[in-house]
Amino acid sequence: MEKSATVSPILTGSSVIAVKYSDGILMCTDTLASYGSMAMFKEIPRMAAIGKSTLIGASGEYSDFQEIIRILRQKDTDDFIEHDGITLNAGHFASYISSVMYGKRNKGNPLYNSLLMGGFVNSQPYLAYIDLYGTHILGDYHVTGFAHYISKPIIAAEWRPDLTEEEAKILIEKGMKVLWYRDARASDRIQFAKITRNGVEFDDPYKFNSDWDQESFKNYSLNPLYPYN
Amino acid sequence: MSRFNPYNDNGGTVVAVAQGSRVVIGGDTRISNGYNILSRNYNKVTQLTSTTFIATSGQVTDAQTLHKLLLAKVALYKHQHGNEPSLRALSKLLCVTLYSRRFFPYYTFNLLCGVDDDGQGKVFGYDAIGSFDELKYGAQGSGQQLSMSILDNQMKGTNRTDSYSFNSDPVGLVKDVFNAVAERDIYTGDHVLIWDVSPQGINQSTFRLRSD
Repeated sequence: MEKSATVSPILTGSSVIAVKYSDGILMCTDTLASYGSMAMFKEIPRMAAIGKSTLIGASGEYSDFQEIIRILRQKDTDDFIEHDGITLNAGHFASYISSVMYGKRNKGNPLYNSLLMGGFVNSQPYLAYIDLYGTHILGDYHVTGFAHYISKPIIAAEWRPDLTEEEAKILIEKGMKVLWYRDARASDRIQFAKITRNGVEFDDPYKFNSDWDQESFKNYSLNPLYPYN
Repeated sequence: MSRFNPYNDNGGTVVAVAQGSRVVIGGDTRISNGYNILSRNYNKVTQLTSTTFIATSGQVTDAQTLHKLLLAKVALYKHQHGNEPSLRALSKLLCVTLYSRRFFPYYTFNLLCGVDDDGQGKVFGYDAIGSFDELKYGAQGSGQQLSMSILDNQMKGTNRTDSYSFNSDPVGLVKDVFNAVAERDIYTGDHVLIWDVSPQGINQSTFRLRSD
């Protein structure tokens, strides 16, 4: 029987950003799946809802993200059918999927993703980072991939626990814009989603404006930092 | 095509010092991935019984699994024996747990510490595959070498010509050690969580470190 393992991802998503704010968790991704250096699918969602309790966003291999959604939605359905008065929350799903990812990492066949999972546990906003090794870390804000270098410092400087939805959106959009300027695998079409005590809500994706006419990009050879003249 | 590498060092340092019936345990709160920081307030120390703690550096995913496994084994022991396992019993339990993965090790570097049945504070240091020894003081992780140099000098009097014995505050020593490590180890910083464990009780405190 031929065995195969995911050793390097083929169709990939870039960064995910999520922050806790006053009403819950606000999460954002661009809508691009890259095939190496090719921007192959430019309008696909990289976030998903699991029932009403959990919002999940992923970077890395897109097919493994689809598998994770399938696994977690199955768990959510099984929980519903049990009808025992207890509902699985985002913390339960996070523990479960991180254990699944740990098991597959042990077998040398990982689900090649970095996930952000948001929801509520004991009525408090919950945000977890889970990666392909099964690392499971909580935090007030999280990013995956390239955004560590570029967006996280911006968010860390301005995050507060009592951000309004507008303030959180502006903060995250700053992070997404800088990614568009500097991450070669990012796109300028982004989507926000949030999870509050009322459930999961997806906003429509939109293209944001960016300024490629700024002085530092123009007249490149006259740029004082350009050393070759 | 190269194979998937299941190991990844998330960095960090843990330190423990035993003195008389007391043991002081410290772990920094930084989790790193390459040059990135994943968390600045992550707890690397787990309390296993009312008198024993395990402090682990290395790979977070293996450390989380190891701590969960040990908590389950402690719970089983308590159900079967009607009392908590001693530090000495847990020292061997951790050894065989690590060795059971001799051919796919937990990427964890552990310090098992606490107050033993004889009322003495003790530290046991482990490598990734379970080799262990009882110590008066120990350090594991990315700042191990930087820490041990200071601890040897302060606790044993190495590299000094005066006659020396340490009889001041071990909590202060642990804080000084972490300050020194944070200066030169990029993977150690943010905060230290410190447990001061003695038969009188457990005093937990937080100490700030530089965040760069």
